[in-house]
Amino acid sequence: MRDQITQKIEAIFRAVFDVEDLVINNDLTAEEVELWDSLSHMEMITTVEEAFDIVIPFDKVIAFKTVGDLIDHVLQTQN
Amino acid sequence: MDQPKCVKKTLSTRRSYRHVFAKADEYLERNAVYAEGNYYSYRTLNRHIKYICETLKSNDVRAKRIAIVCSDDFWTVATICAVLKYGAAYIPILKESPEERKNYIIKDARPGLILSPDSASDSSPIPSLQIQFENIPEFKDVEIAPSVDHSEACILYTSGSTGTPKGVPMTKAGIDHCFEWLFDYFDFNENDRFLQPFRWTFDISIFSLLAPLSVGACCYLLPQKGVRSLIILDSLIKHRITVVCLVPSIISLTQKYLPSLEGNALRISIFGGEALYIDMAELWKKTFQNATVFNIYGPSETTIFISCYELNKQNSPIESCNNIISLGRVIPNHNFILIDDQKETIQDKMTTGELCINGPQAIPNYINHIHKDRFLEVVREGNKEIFFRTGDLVQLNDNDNLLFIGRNDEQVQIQGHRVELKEIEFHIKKRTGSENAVVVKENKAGEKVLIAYAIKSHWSEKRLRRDLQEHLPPYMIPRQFVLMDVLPRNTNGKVDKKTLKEL
Repeated sequence: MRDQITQKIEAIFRAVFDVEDLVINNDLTAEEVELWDSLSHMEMITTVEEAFDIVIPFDKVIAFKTVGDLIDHVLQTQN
Repeated sequence: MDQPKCVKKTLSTRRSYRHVFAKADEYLERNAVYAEGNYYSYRTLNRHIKYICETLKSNDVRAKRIAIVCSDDFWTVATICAVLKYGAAYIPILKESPEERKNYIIKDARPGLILSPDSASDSSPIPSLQIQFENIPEFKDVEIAPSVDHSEACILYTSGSTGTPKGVPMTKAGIDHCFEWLFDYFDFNENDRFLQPFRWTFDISIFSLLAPLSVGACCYLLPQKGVRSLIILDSLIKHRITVVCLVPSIISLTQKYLPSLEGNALRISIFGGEALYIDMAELWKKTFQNATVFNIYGPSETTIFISCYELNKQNSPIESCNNIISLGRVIPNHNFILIDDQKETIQDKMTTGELCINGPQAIPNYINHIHKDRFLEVVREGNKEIFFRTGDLVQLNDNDNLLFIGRNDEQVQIQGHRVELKEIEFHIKKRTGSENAVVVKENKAGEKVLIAYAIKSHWSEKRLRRDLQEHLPPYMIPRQFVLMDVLPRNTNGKVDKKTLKEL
C-alpha cells in the first residue's frame, strides 16, 4: 500500500515541480527541490488531495517536514 | 508647473528608529527577538550589539558601507543593529542568493567590509570579518557613540524584475521621517508582537525589525525551513502576533486554509508591495476579525511607506478602483504631483497620471547609476526640486485618496486605443477568481497583440472570450488565452510578466 501511494505521489511531484526524473524518498524536503515554493506547494497539496480524495487540514500540512510525513498521512487516511 | 500638494506636519521626534538603542535600556528584561525557537532579551541583544561594535572598533573599521551576509537568525538582527549603531550603512546580502547576484551587489555597492557568521572566502576582493557569538563578555556600559557618521542607513537592491538590479540608498533622515510618521499614525506599544516575514533585502523588513525594537516590543523571525506562505500563517496564529505587514499574495496563497483558522490576537494588519483586492482583504478579515486592515504604498525609492489607507475607517465603504483598494493619502511633508505623457502636471481629480514624489523619504538617485527617466526636475520659486517618478499610474479621488490604476509600462496602445492591461486582468479575475496576467507581444507582422495568461479553471478559453466580449471593446479582448497550472513569479512573489513575454 505504501509503495503504491509513494509511486502516485512521485508522479504528482514530477508533474508539479517539473522534474521528469525526480525520485522521492521519505527524507526529501522542500529545500532540495528547486521549484518547490509557496505556489507549487499549494498545487502539489491540492493534486494529492484530489488523487486520494482527501482533505488535508492546515495543522497537518504545516506539520509535514518531509515527504515521508506526507506519505504517512495519506497512508493513514487510506486505511 | 503648479504648486504640488503637500500636507505639512510636525511629527513627533520622540521616537525614531535610532531610539532602538536608547530605549533598549528601559526594557532590558523584556523579549526583543524570537528566532530559531529561542527568545533573546533586550539585555542579550544589547550585549551582542556592543560586542560587534567593539570588534569593529578594535579592527579599526572605518568603512561607511558594510555588507552583511543575512539569514533569518539572531546573528543577522544583532549585526544589522550593530552596523547602524556604528554609524555605517548596511548592505544585506542573502546567504542563499546566487553567487552571481552576490558578486554584482558587492561590485556595485563597493562595501568596505563584509560581515559574515562563517569564515570568509579567500577569493573575495573585499575584506571580510567573521563575527561569532562565543564567550561574549558582559559590558558595564552598553552605550557606544557612532564611529563613522554617514547619511546612508542601508542600500537595498531592487528585485531585478526590470533588468539590472539598482542599488537604492536609504538615508537615516528618510528612515527617521518614515518612523516618525509611523509612530504618529499607529499606536504600537511594548506589548506588541511583530512578525518579520520579509527577506532582509526587501525594504519593509526595516519596519518589521526596527519598529518593534523602537517601542520595546518583540520581533518574531520566521523559521528558516518550510514553505514560506504557510509558515507565515502558522507564525501569526502560533505566536499570537499583534502587528504584521505582508504582501497581499499571502492571502491568495493561503486562502484554502483561512476559513478554518482564527487569529484573534492580530490587531494591526498592514498590506503593501502589490495591489490589494477588496475580496482578498475581506477574506483575510474573516480569519483575523480583530485586525484593522491598512493598505500601504511605497516603492523602495520612497523609503518603506509613503501613503496609507485604513479600510472601513468609521465604517465607511472601501474606496477602490477595479476592485483594487485605494493607496490612501501621501504621508505628511511630501510633495506629490501626477503627470501626463508630456510630463505636464494634471490638475483634475479622477484623471490618470504618473505619481511623482518629492520629500525627505524620496531618494534623489540610485547609487552609481544615473536613471534620468526615473527622476523629474521641477523648478519652483527658483528652487530646483527632484521628484521620483514611481511609474505607477494613479488617480486622485474626491476624498484626496490615491487610486491605483496600473503601471505606466502596463498602459499600451492597441489599434490606436489606449489600453490598461490591469483593466483586462480585472475582468478575467472577476470570472476565473484567480490571478492572471495580460502581456503585449508582437506577432510576425510586428503588430502588438494581447496575450492573457490565466490559471486553469472551469472557464474555457471560448467561454472566457465570449464573456469578456460582453464587457470590453474588441480591441481589449486578448488575441490568445493561455491557461496554465501556475503562473511564473519573480523573487518578490509577483507574477513575472517578463518571463511570460519570453514564452
